[in-house]
Amino acid sequence: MNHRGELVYYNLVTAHIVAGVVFLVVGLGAGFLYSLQFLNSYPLGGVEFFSPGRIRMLHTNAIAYGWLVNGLLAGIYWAVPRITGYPVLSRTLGWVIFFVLQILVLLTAGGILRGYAQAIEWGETPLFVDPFITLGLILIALNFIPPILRASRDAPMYVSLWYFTGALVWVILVYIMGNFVPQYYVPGAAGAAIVGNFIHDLVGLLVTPLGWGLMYFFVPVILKRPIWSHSLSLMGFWGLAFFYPMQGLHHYMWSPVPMYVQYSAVVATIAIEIVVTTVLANFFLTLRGCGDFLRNNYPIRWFYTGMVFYWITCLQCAIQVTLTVQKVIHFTDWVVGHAHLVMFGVFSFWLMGIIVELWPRLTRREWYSNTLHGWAYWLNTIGLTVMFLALTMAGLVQGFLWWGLNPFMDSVRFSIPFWFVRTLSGGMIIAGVVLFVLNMYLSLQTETTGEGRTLRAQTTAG
Amino acid sequence: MRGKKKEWITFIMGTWVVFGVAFCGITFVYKVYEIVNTVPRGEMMGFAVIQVVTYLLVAMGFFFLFLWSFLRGDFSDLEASKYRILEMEERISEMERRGV
Repeated sequence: MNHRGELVYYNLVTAHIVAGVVFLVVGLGAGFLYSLQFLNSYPLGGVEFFSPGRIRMLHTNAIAYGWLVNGLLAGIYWAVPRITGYPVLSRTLGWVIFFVLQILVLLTAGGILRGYAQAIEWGETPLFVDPFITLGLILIALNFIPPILRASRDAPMYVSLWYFTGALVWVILVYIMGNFVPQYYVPGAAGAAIVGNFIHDLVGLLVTPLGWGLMYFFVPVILKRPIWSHSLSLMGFWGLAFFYPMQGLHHYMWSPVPMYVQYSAVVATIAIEIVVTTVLANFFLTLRGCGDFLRNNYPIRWFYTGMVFYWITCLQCAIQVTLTVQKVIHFTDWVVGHAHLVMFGVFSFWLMGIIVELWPRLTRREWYSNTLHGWAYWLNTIGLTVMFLALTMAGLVQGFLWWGLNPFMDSVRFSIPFWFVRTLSGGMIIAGVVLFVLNMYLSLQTETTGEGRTLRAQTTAG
Repeated sequence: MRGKKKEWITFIMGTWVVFGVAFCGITFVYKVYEIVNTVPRGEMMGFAVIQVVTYLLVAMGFFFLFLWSFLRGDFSDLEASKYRILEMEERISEMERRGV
């Protein structure tokens, strides 16, 4: 180990967490605002700057690039040096990346609200921002890959490092493919197929590997026991590497894309479900004999709840990509429910668990309130479950109404009760997150513990 | 006797894997050939070529990474890493406790 300098840059981790949480609140607020449009109660109607279409894009981009990327970076700034024993390449570069990321997210938000969004779902980042994002992604890889390479010379790599390396390389390729190829080289319907791949790969080849990599680090460290099988975990990584990239085409079932390509997407998606099951089996077998942690330890509770949601999401994915199910659910709210389950129920839950674990150690202060922890957890879990169920049911109602060739307005009328429940459950989620942030803030007001960086979040769940 | 049985099982399993991989490989190459054949037939038929080529390039890169990892012995002691990170975390926590 090299401990001549600081191993983990605590201020960088803290800065990314704070920035991420700010964007989480903004993103959730935008989502809630947008949901009011479906109830014919949008308060800013007529203001072009805040038109619902733009607010929707603000919602998705703030969550993806503002919250998730900041949160995941915080996680790997903590985990990579602790797994490898080497600090990241440069603290200065870390701060450059931090400020550039925040500026780019703000430019994206401003660009979207001004009407300069790129016509690519989840790639709405304005055209003038795209080259800088690509450059930023290369800088991130430059900062993290050197310690991983150094560690790989010492001993075989731990699975988290494989996931991190994969994500850092993949995301550059995925971003270039999704934002530049359809825009400049493959326009029209053919470009749309590439956009489908981009949307899915952004989740599967950036957020998923970073998320799982962090789980493979935090879960054993908190439980103080190794992962059940490292071999099985490596199978999960290589399965993701080989099966995931072709999945995105399942967004275009029944489209003019050649059928053998559509079939390959179906096969790849179902194969991933098998891989995911091995990963989850590994984590639940790790928990064997210490199930009390689910009751007594909030980070573990957030992590495992997210894992259950992940398995449901992937099972849903394996079913919904079949041509039979696609006939019904395509373009319906089913897909919206699915997206919320994975982006909030899985990755946001994991990040909140990581924050619960790290915040006391970063600030050297105890959590202010366990009761607030309990409220935040249950409001988020119940809110998200209700939202997922409401949107899934709405999707089925819409799909069958369209299939029966009923008037489109019938599907709108029948959807309103579900959309009302969606807004209510969104309110629950926002309330949960506000309590979570309030707890973070109030913890800062408490006195330092003097226990330094070793303080852990061994909270008693309420 | 037991050793011979083990050898036979290894032989049968190995043959099965070799034939399985060979069969999958041939069908995979045939599918790639089919895709390449669609390109000259116009844009609609060559619809997914860019994605397939991108996927193949990325998959090939990871295949070589896998091969590199295998050849340098990463798969010889698969479970050692999981213990090492816990020992490392313990050491780092201890150093932090002591304020090093």
